[in-house]
Amino acid sequence: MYRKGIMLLLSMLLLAGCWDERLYKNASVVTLVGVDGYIGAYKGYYAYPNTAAQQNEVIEADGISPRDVRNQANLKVEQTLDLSELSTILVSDQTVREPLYDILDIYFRDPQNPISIKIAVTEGDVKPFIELTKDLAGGAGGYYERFMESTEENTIFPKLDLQTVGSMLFEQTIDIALPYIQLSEDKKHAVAAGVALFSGQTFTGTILTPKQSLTMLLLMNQPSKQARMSYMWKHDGKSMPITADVIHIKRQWTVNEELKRIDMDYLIEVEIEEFAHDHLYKDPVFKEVQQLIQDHLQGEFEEVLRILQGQQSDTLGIGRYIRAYHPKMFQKDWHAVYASLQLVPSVQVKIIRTGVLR
Amino acid sequence: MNFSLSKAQFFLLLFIIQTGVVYIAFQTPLIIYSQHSAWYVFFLASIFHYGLLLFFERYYQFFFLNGFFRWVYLIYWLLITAVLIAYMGYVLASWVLPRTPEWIVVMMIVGLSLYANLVRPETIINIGVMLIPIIFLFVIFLMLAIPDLTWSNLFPVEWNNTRQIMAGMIHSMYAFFGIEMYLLYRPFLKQDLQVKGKPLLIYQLVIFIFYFISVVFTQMFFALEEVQLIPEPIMYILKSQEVNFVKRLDIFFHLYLAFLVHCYGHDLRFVLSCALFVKKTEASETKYCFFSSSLSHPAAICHAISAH
Amino acid sequence: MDKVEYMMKSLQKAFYHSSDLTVRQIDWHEGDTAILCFYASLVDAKEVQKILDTIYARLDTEKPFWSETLLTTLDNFALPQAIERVCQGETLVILPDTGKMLTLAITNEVRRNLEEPNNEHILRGSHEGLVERADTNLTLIRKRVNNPALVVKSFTIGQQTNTKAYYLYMDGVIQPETLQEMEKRIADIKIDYFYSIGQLSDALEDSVLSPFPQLLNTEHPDRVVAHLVEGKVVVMTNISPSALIGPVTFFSFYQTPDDYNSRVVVGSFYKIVRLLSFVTAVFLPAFYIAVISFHFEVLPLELSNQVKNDVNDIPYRPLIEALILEIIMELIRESSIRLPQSVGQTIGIVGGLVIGDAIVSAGLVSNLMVIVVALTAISSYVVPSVELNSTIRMIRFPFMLLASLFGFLGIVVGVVILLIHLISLTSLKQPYFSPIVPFQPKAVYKIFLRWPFIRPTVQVTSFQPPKDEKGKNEDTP
Repeated sequence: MYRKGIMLLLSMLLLAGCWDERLYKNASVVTLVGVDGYIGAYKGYYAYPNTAAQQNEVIEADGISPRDVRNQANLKVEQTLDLSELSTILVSDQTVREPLYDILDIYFRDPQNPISIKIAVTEGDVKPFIELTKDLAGGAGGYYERFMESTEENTIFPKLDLQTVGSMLFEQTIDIALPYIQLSEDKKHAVAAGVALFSGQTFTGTILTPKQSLTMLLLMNQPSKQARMSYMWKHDGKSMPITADVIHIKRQWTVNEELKRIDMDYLIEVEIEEFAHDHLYKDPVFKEVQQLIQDHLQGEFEEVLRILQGQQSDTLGIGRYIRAYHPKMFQKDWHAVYASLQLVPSVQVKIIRTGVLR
Repeated sequence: MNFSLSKAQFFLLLFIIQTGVVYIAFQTPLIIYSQHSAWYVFFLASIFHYGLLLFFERYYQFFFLNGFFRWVYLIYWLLITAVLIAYMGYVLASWVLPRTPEWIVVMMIVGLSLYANLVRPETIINIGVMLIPIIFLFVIFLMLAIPDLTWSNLFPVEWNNTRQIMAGMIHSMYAFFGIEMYLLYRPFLKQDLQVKGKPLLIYQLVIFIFYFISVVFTQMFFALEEVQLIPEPIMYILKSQEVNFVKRLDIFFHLYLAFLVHCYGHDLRFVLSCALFVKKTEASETKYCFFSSSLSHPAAICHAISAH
Repeated sequence: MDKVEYMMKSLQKAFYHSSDLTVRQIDWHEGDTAILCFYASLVDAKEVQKILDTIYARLDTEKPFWSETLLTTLDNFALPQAIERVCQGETLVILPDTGKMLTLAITNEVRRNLEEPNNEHILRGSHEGLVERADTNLTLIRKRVNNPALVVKSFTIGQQTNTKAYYLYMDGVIQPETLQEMEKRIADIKIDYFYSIGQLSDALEDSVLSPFPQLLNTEHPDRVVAHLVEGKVVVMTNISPSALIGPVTFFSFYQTPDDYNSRVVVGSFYKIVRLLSFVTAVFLPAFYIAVISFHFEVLPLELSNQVKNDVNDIPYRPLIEALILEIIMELIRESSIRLPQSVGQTIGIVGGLVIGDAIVSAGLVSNLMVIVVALTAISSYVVPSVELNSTIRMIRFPFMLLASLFGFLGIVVGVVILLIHLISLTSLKQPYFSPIVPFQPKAVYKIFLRWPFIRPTVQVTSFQPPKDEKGKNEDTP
């Protein structure tokens, strides 16, 4: 009798079914999400693969919050949207003028969302960017993810994922610079157009061009696999291009508390990749080329620092450094203090390699 | 209850009892209260723990619980088991299995530990061996987070704020629950084995490094305001790492943590000590196992329900 | 004469008038008669005749020990013993006048050739196998261990069948507890009709309901000898080529003679591969079901597209899909045991085409599932022991069921239950999961690596950790 009761109970367990089952064949796997609009009137775009036709479908919906948008979108799909395989989030540049975390909260709170995904800001509306993935055979999100990863390798975009972005959004001492994407003329490709500077949680409106964002990444001591810079060299009346690739950076920041000034010393080791004039073994040529690169870099560093301070966007992490090592200088309202600091960069360039030719 | 432990078994048992589900959760209150000084407050707390272990080792023969304190301890252990099982149920429900009714998950945990307790006692002592490779993997996967760490979070080291340090010490002590088991299991160690000196130091170092890595990584990985929002930082770190092709590492560790560490750490301490105290025959030992498991189960359910 | 005829009649009656029993009167020395009694099916008539002739010759010379040769002896006549001897295949010459009987133990040796056992192929090493005759088996073993310490004790199994059986051990290496336990169990055997080795292993095992075998079953004499010198008891019977070896640990099922016949590094590598096959064989289908049903975010993006394409059109859930394929696999396996050689190849091709190709194109299962099931089947055959092979194949099913109910949590629950069971299982009262159960950190690596062979080692006998830390148990595998 007693035993029968237990058997009955156990078998009821089996009959009730598996509560958490999420069958793969019953889910629409969304890989790319686009967010547009502002609080109260969001528009969302979801791209998921249509297996029969080997292309991606885009669903558009409106709502008062990102989660609400998804609920509205669920009304339009044949299989419930599932964001566990998300790989990229695109946000339009109008939307990020409001605090960014409001849009991202849902991605952090739900344990099934991945947080090692990429996020980017688009120029203008998000819709054309998502529509261009319709004809791609592969995953929509995969296209943008690979696009951003390869640009990261070229040291144009900083290496970020959703988790690091979220972490930095919470800190007063550092600001984020999100990748900024434009559409090409034929509206079939995405073009990397630099980074979007944020101050705190909102977009400042300023974009750094790809060249400037390369410089910013060098300032942050985060060169990636390739970091190439090209300059024109005027010599004997002729102009010749030089391309240098950064191999290694050594940096040292010296903080002077009374004068509120930071001396930023950088030693950058480069390899010359393109120099048609050759003859770098000749000392005067070598020194001239080195000096040229140094002067150019110095100018670029100063320009980028001016822009960053002007926008009160501390992407370099100066705040973190000061808070850790010079806590007296650090105050709660870091952005105002940051804008008033005197940042003096000084660059020294050394050419260590010249390829296999001299 | 006549079994004797070798050194490796004794320390393994103690390790499992001390590291339980607190491992994933105690960093948050610690860092909230001690802010940037969390890591060295923890270091001080573990020195204190070592001192306590040395003290126990020297005087364990004089430890004797009379009737009243036995009951105090039993009730204490029952409450801790219930609270921790309820917490584990909550963590599993929020991270891994959102729709499964919580009582089923708790029943599975309790049922498994009941099964483990009803076979010979040596089983329980030795099941910790299965946990060792998992712990290594756990630490290795945590190491994947190294590129994302910022050292500067450790640094403004402030000594003057005593309230912070006190609160931090109290929260660090959560990591070392279960130390009273040292006194209870020590007499079972084989007589001729030497525990004082090197083995004890090695054990202390192992536990210290295991916990310290978690505290330091949590502090370095997250911003301070962010830590206030995250109740289980270690799981969050694992979730954000992507090994070559496996995305949600935290699922694996959750589940193993839940079962092996949890079952055996808590139910073991409760049941085994229960039977230690009441020296009766084998048959009533089984009855005690049933009784204690069934008692901790509803207690856990009640707690889980009341927590929402 | 009456006495002789009366005796002959009672002999026939005692043997239930079997037609192959021959009872005859023959002439004996000095005008006496003797009764010849034997089972014609069991004796080798020509040899018996030769020996009898020798004995006749001796009878004339009045030697005192005329009856004692290698194969013959003289005993007092008693009917029950006579019956027993004739049943064992001995020829009786009953001398009614002196009340003695002469027994000639020359049986008709019916046995097959010493071929390599079908289930236990090895690459290098001896290819001899045990046969269905206990005496030949003893020959094979004794020639490998030329030592009087190899003790052979005989006993009979089955009160009605009286089958001859032996148990062997090496005195000096074996632990007394082991021997006592085995002897106690042998004495407790209560079988009436013994016809299969399964009955014996059921009687001798600790826990009959456990899926894991607690006695190793082997047909290779060198495996038997390797275990003998490690202090185990071996039981052999007259009806089966298998020898039962106990006590064993879980990891001894994963050893083959190949390990010790190959090099250290190579042997270690293959040992590790074999142990990993256990994991694959048991957990792979369950893992796949758990990933597809519950946690598909574990898959990387590129793979997930493929998988989604494959899985989308299957009409039922992954558990049913897996069960269909697994049952088909089991059917193939069962049928392949009994397929006649001539048709075997053809059916193999048909099976491959049907399973591999047609079932996927018909949309009944997905490609990935076929891969998973094939890998699982291959891994499960890696185990060197037939019993453990079947066990592994069987415990896959509860894991698949648990995985489809609770996902990874279900697999973990299953693993914990399995571990608890293995850890508390005993083989002849000795721990089954040995280097892990009384935890000896120094001995654990020996499971995985084939250490250079220096000295045979003795298995741990109890759940308590060994008494002296510096004793010989430190070296146990």
